[in-house]
Amino acid sequence: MENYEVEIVNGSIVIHFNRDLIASFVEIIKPRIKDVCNNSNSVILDFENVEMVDSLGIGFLVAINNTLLKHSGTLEVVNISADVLDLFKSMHLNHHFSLKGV
Amino acid sequence: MKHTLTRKFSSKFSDVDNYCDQVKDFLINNSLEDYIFSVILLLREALNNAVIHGCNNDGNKIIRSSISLAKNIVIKVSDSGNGFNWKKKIREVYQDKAISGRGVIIFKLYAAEVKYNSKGNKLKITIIKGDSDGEL
Repeated sequence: MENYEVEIVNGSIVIHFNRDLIASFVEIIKPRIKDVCNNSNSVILDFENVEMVDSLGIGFLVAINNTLLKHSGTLEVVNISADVLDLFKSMHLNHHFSLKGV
Repeated sequence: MKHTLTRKFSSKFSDVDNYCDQVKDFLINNSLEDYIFSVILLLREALNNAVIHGCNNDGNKIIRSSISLAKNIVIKVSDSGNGFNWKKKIREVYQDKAISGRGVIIFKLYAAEVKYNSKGNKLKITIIKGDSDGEL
């Protein structure tokens, strides 16, 4: 299974992550996702296969949102596990983009 | 059953991942599944700090870490770098749109106690067992 898969659904870019959003993965994926965010008004991140997100992963999500906001784009994160959703809410990420639990 | 897991590895994120996998198995083998998320989250923050700030992303430097299970869960992390100004770091307030600076908040939210040595290259994190879900 690839680390992530990208598809277009109803005009939105949907990125399915197939591993945890942690430092080692953020190093790899950050440059690859940049172009996707620069060329889309709606990005949906599917966390169905994500169990852990560290502070670098959170920073990566904030960077995606910052990039999208430059051209009035929106970010949505879906299928978030209970533990990760608690972490995101503690960081007030729900004030900046949409979060949906499993 | 062993109650302390100690490892020494290179200052690389791939080595951090391998060690975290070993700690996860260690917790499962000691029937501490409920603590996996908080322990691995805290451990990763400590190790990321060691790789980035302590060792300046120099993969030739060495990180040592242990996790002990007794009354409490205790994580220790030390690195062979020159340390960093943790007193300044814990005073920093992250901005909402900042892409870094949230590690300290994670320490405050998920750990009972976090202690650095004065040089800033040794860290001890304590997690109180029974503190994870508020149940009896």
